[in-house]
Amino acid sequence: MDMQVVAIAEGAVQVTLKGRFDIQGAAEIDLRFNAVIGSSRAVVVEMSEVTFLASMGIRTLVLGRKQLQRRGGNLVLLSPHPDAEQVLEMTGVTDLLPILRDEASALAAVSA
Amino acid sequence: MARLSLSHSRAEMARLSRWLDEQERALAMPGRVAHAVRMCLEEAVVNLIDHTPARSGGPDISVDLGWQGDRMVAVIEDSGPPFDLRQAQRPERPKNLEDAIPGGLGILLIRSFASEIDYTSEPGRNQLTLRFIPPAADGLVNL
Repeated sequence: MDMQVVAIAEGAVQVTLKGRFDIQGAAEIDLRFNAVIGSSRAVVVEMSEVTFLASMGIRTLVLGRKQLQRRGGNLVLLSPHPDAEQVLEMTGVTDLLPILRDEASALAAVSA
Repeated sequence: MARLSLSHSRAEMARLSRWLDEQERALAMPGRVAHAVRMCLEEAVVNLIDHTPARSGGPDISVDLGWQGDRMVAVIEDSGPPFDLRQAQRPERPKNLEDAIPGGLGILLIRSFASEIDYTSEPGRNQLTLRFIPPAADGLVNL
């Protein structure tokens, strides 16, 4: 899967993911994703082109947010693809991985 | 039915994914069916690889896939300890990040995306059968 990282404010980055976020996709991005988590305070994960989200993808996101929150940071999801959002709802993790619909709200949420 | 044999290794997940790409085209699967089949097969196979011991050095997991009438049918066979995911306790909604590390999430996804689930177990051979009903064949099923 494809992963792009752009700074959107001081200490805040937007990670844009594209493709299938399953065990293969997670293995492809985990090192770089964890490096971003380790070097940032606020992370917005844009997921409008993540057309497939499986449990290993959820694991990467949950662990990333957990690690950030331990350091006083935060992670939110921006505009997940409907299929990915359905999986987040089915697995009951929408309370733990907040979903925002626009970039300004997402940045405000992680910066709060 | 098309068949894929897999060894007990996470490296095999790439082969499963490529095989599913091929089968989606070869079997002309509607998009919603293809999505559900991939979700269930990936979750079921990775659960077997991660949570059951390998019985041999060679392939000990097989996946068969094909249409039976208007239903797409996937059959997963393995030789590990029996595990009937229909009987597994439904995972509770995680209350916080600490208890949200996915373990039962794969089972929850299989039970959500498969239209029907059957399971049989004989000594040394377990068979999980998943059926997927395309939306046109059953408007009540949200595939």
